[in-house]
Amino acid sequence: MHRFQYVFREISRRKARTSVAIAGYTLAVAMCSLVLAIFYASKESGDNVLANTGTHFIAFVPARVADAAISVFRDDTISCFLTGGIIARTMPGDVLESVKAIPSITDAAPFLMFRVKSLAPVNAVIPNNIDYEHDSESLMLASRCERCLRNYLMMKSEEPMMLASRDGTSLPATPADSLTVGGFDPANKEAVGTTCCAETDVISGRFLHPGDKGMLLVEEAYARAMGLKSGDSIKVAGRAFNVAGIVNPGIRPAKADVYMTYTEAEVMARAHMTQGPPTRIMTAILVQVRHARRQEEAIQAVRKLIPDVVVSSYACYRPAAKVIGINEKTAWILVTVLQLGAILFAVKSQTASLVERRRDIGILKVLGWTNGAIAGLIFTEATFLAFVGSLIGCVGAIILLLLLPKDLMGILSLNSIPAIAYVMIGIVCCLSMLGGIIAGIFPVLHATRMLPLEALRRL
Amino acid sequence: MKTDVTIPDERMVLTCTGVTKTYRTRGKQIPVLRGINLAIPKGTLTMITGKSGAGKTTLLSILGGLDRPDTGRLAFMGNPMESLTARESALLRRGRIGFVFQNFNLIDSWTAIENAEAGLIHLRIAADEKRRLAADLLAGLGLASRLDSFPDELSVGEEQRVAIVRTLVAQPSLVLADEPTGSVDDETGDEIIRRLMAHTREHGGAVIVTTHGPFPLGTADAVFRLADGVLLPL
Repeated sequence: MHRFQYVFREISRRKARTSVAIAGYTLAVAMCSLVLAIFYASKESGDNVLANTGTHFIAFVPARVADAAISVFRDDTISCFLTGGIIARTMPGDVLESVKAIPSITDAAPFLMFRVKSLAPVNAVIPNNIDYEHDSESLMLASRCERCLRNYLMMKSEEPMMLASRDGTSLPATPADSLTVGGFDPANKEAVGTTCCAETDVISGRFLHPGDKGMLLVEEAYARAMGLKSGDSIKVAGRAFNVAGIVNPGIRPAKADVYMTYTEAEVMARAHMTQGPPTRIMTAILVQVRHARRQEEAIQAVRKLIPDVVVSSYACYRPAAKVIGINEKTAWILVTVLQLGAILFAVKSQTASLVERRRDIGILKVLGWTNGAIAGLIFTEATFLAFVGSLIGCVGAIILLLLLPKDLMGILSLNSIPAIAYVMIGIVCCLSMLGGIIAGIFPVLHATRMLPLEALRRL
Repeated sequence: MKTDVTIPDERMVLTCTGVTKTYRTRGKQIPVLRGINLAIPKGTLTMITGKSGAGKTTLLSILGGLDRPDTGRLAFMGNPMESLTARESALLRRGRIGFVFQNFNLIDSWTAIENAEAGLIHLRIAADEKRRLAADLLAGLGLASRLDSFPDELSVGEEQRVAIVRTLVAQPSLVLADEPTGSVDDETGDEIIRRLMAHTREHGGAVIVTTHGPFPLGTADAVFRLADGVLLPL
């Protein structure tokens, strides 16, 4: 009798054992596929968020002491270019396209920031008798910056004021002498939104539109300090602007007191420069990276491209990339554990099958069947059972995924329905078949060590 | 000068010299065979008697190449056996060494004809031809109508005949029968002995029978008793 005939005869003869063995593989594959599909959908939802976490930075070149001595402005309306509170140099405009061309970078946008003097003609001074340590609103502002505190107190006071510093010394009263202006491209949602200001940051009023003229956004804390609200008119560098909206961009690398379109900011800067560069003026490049894992690569590429560049970024891309890695490892650990479970089940089933057929194997050995032929018999049976079980498991998994209740998404906080990943199901199926072969190893070793006549006589 | 050259005796199917076997269980050593010497000529029936547990099955296992001796030498048709691998031993058994068992040991999931043709595993001939050879022999023993019956559908006598066909269909040079009449009635036992003797007379094959019970000793060409691991002629 041919090996396959023998295997099929055995399988069909011992229906209960065959059914249990096949059911084991079916359950293992179906559960594996189902759990993995849900896990991957969950992982994908999480990874999508994590992949975009901290995937942005700003690149700028700080001004050196020698640069600071050379004024590029023809008057004192604009005191300096800066980025994030640091006096900065302008960068050549053409470098933006080179940054955009870096493979790990999704998008890049120009950013122009400068400090403007003389926001408001204030002649008040801070009184030395204000105990701002016990004024909660003052205290809050004091914790942000001394300049805001001064401005705030000047706006409130009708009396000449002196500012009392915390160490008891008196500071000279100074007018609200400056504010920082940030110019960005409102049309660029990707690079600008994560590093500078986004539409979702609007608290009142509206966001800037690309074609806006004479409109600006005011940062919330600054607006509160200055008592500004949407619709107000203010002058910046001698030019009147309407407050389009109040924004709270949170802690962003490119944060300013007021924001206007990049075009208007550039026009304003050029109007006060002795000689503007032929290309666009920008003090920083706002960069959006493709994936948290590529952040480091992108930063290195920008550093290589722009000499003396300083990159300002959140480090949260590092834990994000780490969590993505942990998710992937978890997936593989899950697959391994489930498959090991299936293999252990199969080993038990195959061993039980072998014990039942101990006598048959003894007879076959006596008849001259080699250990190799008997091993082939056991492997054929194990693989066949695994194949049939896995095939049914695959179909079962697909049906289960099709029937999966849609409200499961809400329960599991998934962004998408667990997809029928045919490749993954195929891999699970192959792993199960491999498991079937592995499961056959122990019984094969057992069978090859069996002394035939002893096996026959004990029964 | 070589001193250990053995000249094969062509009259002998099987020879064994100084075969020993000791089982080791839970730190204990249980010597089963202590220097067995045996020569089985062609066309003879040799009987080995002994109590249960005397080591008869162990001896048959070693003689049939199913187990290895600890020491000693074995030769089948003049070819040394003790150094054969498990695979080589299995290939040697195919068609040349047949076994008969006390309880016949038919494979339950195979029909009578499938069990019978299993003895022709060594023949590289068409499956139909194997089936014809086995079917002819079964028919000769009155089982023409039982070819497709499974063992549990056969009587004890029919099972025995199927088992005999499976062993003898290949006309092996050596038949090792382990307690072949131990679980059958006298009539069936006589039938088994007749068949085995016919094999020695008609085909020149050698037969070794082990038994611990009554057996018609007069039918054997040589009789030995296995006791305390030693084989003694009776």
